[in-house]
Amino acid sequence: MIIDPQSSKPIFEQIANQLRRQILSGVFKPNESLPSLRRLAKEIRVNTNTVQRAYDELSREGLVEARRGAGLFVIDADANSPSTKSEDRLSKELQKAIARAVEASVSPQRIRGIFRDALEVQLSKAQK
Amino acid sequence: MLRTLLWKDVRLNIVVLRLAAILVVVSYAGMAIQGVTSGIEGQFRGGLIQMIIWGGSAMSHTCLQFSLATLSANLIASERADCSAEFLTYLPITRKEVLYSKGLLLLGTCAVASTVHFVGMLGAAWLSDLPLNDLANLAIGLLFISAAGWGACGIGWFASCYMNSNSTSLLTLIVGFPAVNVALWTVVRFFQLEDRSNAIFVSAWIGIGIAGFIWGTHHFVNRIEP
Amino acid sequence: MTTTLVELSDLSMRYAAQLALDSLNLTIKSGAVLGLLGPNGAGKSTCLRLLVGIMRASGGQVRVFGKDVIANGTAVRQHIGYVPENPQLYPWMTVAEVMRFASAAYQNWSSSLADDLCRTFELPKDRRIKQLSQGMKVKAALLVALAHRPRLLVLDEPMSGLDPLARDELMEIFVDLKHQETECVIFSSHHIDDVTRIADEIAILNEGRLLVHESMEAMLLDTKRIEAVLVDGRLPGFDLPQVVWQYVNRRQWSVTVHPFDSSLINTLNASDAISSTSVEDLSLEQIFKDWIKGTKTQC
Repeated sequence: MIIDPQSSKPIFEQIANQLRRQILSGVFKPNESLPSLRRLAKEIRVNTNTVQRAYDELSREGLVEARRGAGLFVIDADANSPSTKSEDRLSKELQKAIARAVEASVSPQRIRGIFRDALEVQLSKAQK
Repeated sequence: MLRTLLWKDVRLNIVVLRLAAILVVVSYAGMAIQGVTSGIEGQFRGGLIQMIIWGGSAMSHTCLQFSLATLSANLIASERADCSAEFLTYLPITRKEVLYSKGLLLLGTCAVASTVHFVGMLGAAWLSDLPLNDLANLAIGLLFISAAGWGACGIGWFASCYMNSNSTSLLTLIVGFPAVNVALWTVVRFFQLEDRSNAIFVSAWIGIGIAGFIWGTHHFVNRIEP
Repeated sequence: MTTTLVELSDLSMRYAAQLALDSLNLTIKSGAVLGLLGPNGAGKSTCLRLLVGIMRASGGQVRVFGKDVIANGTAVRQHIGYVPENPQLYPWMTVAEVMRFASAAYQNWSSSLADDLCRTFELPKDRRIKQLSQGMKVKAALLVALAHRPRLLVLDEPMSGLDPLARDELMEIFVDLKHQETECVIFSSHHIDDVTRIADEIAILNEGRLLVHESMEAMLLDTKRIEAVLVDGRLPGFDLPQVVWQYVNRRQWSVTVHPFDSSLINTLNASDAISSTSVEDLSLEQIFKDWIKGTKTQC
């Protein structure tokens, strides 16, 4: 994991982005645990509070959850909301695309706008 | 902690301590060689033994004062010279503890060596059946030398507390002590007190010693910086 | 509820004619990892030495763990680990002898922890201090500071003279200290990168004065650079509040503001003198530089 303290992007965001990418691309599989707070902090040499913030962010996004003092585990999307394989793939691909856009500093408003437009275009095409 | 500080101070000043020990041995050995080769022992009532031990002790005791004065000049300034003084200040050790250890080393060295000298002389006197008068005179002689040493140590200690390197404190001692004696002798001559010069010198030395130790200690304990 | 661990009140330090610290007020709470930033000569080292009680201040008071650091110096220093910028341990002592010496001074010295640290730092126990490299000397001093499980760790430029690998090793230890009974870490550094990573509070000193003391978060999130385009190179008639630093170049007016409030943008946009505005985030290094530049122009 590469942290750039010179960047104007907060460190917790950089950590969260890279972890998110790792989760979505399968480096951490569902029901696998993320490294402990202390371990990751020591590994990347960042204050534990900052790492905690990144972990909190990922929890809020629903990507990971805390389990009974055993740390953070990647949420198994399949187990919680049974859906078809294609629905699953759609969800993952959307999340990846959005994550990439966020990293490339596309603003949230723009992302929402683009998403809405794309949705409109594709769904109206499908209805015809 | 005092024991560890003492260990540290011994190691820090090991050169001076070794020198002092060597001088003691050389003094007695030198006297022995002199005695055996030149045959002056006839001048001593107790013969060779008295010559070696009394002569050796006198010489050794004089050398001891030089060693002690050098030690006192070295004790505190050497810590500032290699900047370890700052190390001592941020450890949870009081400045008083630091000084106790150094003072103990000085006192200890003086006590040990002086005891050797006095006991040696008593032994020689007993072995040679010397009259009490001779012994008393010698003891007074040694104490006279000790008073001079006390004065020199006071100056050395004072210089050590004020200066930042042991070379400058040593220099102060080497220049200062003779200068004080010259001044004293001038005063004695000026006021024509030659018949009481011994008493004057001894009291001056004792006073200077006390002043040097007190003033130096006070300055060291209250310094703003280490 | 976090307790106040360190309190500097109206702290001043005068060296002959020079005022090194000028009425410094700083409160540091338990749990903080505080990075002290400032240009050379700002007073960082002086501040830290007064904090530990090595020197006596010309004015003001230093309280650590609620006790006056001059009156209760030795009691307080039992729980402080300090590493000066160029640590000078007795050069003739071996590493083992230094450990023995320090263990006699600290009541809470843990020989097992000391041995662990010795192994982690790869310090040869029988090597004399004068034979160690600079990095090893710093590690030896750090061992002395850490082995008695201090409540407060104070480090003056701990990374100076260390190669990048040694710095990495040190940072690994720093981020983990809170788990070993060390309640608070205060360190000064020029390496802003390192500070950004491991500190969660920032204090900036310049010319003996405290400019700002903030959490890292507030520092990074609430300090923003506003770039405004001036219609004809004239500044608007009003002053912006909370300006850290500003600079006009042709028609570009750059203002660094802390704390930022989005209403400022509205105020600016409403002005006739301004045609457009944009807001940027800044890295800690840029924020630090702006604070220092700001004090220089405000003479």
